[in-house]
Amino acid sequence: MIIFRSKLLWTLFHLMMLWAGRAIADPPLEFNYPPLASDEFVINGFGVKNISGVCAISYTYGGDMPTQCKNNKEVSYNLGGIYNFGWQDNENTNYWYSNANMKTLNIVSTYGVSYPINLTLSGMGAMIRGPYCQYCQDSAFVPDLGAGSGCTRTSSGRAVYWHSVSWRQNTQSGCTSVTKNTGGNSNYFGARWQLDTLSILFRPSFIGSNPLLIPSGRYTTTLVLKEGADFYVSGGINPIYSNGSGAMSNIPIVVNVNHALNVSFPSNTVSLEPQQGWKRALLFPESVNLLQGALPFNLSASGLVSVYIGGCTYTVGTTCAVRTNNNGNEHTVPVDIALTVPNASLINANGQVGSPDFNKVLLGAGKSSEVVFTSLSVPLQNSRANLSFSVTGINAQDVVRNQGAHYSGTADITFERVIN
Amino acid sequence: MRIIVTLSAIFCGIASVTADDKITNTIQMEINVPNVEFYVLSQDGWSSNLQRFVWDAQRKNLKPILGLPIIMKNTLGGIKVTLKTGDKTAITSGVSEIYYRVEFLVDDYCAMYVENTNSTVECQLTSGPTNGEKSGKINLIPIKPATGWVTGDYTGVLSLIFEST
Repeated sequence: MIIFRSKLLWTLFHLMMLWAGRAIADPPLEFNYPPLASDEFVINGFGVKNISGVCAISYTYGGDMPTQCKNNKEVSYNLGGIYNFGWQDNENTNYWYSNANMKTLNIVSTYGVSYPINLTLSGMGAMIRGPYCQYCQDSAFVPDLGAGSGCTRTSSGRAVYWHSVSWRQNTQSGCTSVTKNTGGNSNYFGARWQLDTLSILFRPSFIGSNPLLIPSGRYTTTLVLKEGADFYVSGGINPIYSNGSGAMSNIPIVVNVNHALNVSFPSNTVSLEPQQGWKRALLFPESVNLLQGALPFNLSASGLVSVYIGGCTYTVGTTCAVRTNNNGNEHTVPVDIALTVPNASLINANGQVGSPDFNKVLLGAGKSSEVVFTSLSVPLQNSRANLSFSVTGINAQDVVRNQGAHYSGTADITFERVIN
Repeated sequence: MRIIVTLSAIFCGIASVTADDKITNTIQMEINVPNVEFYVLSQDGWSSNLQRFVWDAQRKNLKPILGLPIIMKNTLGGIKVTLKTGDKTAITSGVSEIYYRVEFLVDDYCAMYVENTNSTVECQLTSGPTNGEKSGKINLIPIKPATGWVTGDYTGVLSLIFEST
């Protein structure tokens, strides 16, 4: 009884070890906007890294898959499962992917905000190996891709201990691996073979989601492919999928968006003056209806930017103000503050593109009054933006009549990267 | 007693970008209403409008801004001008800078040029009290950088403080 339990425990332990082995999956396929120096290459403005499967394999005779994938703007990921089969003479095994090859997934941020991306399946690849060929005499470990399409592989005369990669792009028709016709040589009977590094190739597209409109953040999604629905293996050899028939293969995908924001003010002081100049304004104060000042600055931003008035020393209602104490006579007037950013568009509360012209947009006090803008085409780089300040109407006239007065006040203008 | 007159000048560029989640700039807003005893004014209010340095493609040079008219009066004494503390006489685009000289043509010629924000430069515009109004000019002369002109969107603000002496 004790021995039986002990054996059972040992068996369980063994299973757990197998599970741990399966859990060491390839790291998520990662896309970065803007691209990082550590990325493997760039697809549609996004840097990509952690490619696994055939796009990460370079063979002397089979071709440089990393370069081919880079040129085709596609990536591959190792599906993880292994197809096992016993030796049969001169038989083939085929693998292919579904012709329903467009997958639309939502990448989702930590806060649940999502954006669609398209993944177009474009190829499959695999490696055939004979790890248990105990009678094989020739151990030439030749990754023989040979000439031709790169898809059909037939074992050559001496390459019984076979280690070959096949792959196909731009077609759903199956790839074929054909075992060597040994003429019934019993030396090869009982050999075990594997189809592994089975990987899917696909082209990611972010066309449906302009990266400049995706807020900074870390987004994740999973591409789920099912054996028997999205990819298939069959043929004369009748292999068995190690993950089980109809098993799911999960491809974890991470999209990191990290927009830049930089604001540079050459001065932090703005002086408001009458449109017609002080001299004329002092002579005819009733003609004054606008005191204005401009503060140009440089703005660099590659994504959504939120801007609002963080605070002011004086306020009138929810508007910043300037105040004077001219010989004991206090006077406070509100100052409207507006922002102009050339080549930027206002983004409304639903995240939709609003006015195509971000011109003199009035700023509100507090984060709840934020306005959001971005450039829709190229990132703003040291773009010349402008803050305009104005005192209008009767307030402007009252200021002009207050000769010798010095009005002052501060406004905190806050720019924030929009993060999801 | 002092008056601040600001004027802005812009030109065009590219430069480096750094990332930050949140940037807050505190802007000092001012209105200085002149009085009849002491004032320095930009004629026709040009100082509240953006002034533009223009690129001379033929001479491959940045054209100066010449003859900005100012009028002034101080019945109590002379008038001197200084640059706002911490400012430089420069327009910038990212890490690129173009310095300019500020020339005053009132009683005499006097010029300001500040590369180092710790330096103090001043010009005495009028030496004593004036009952009537005086006029003068301001010129802004861009100085070619040692590394040559670098393309970019340049922006700058010139803040001048006029004081009674």
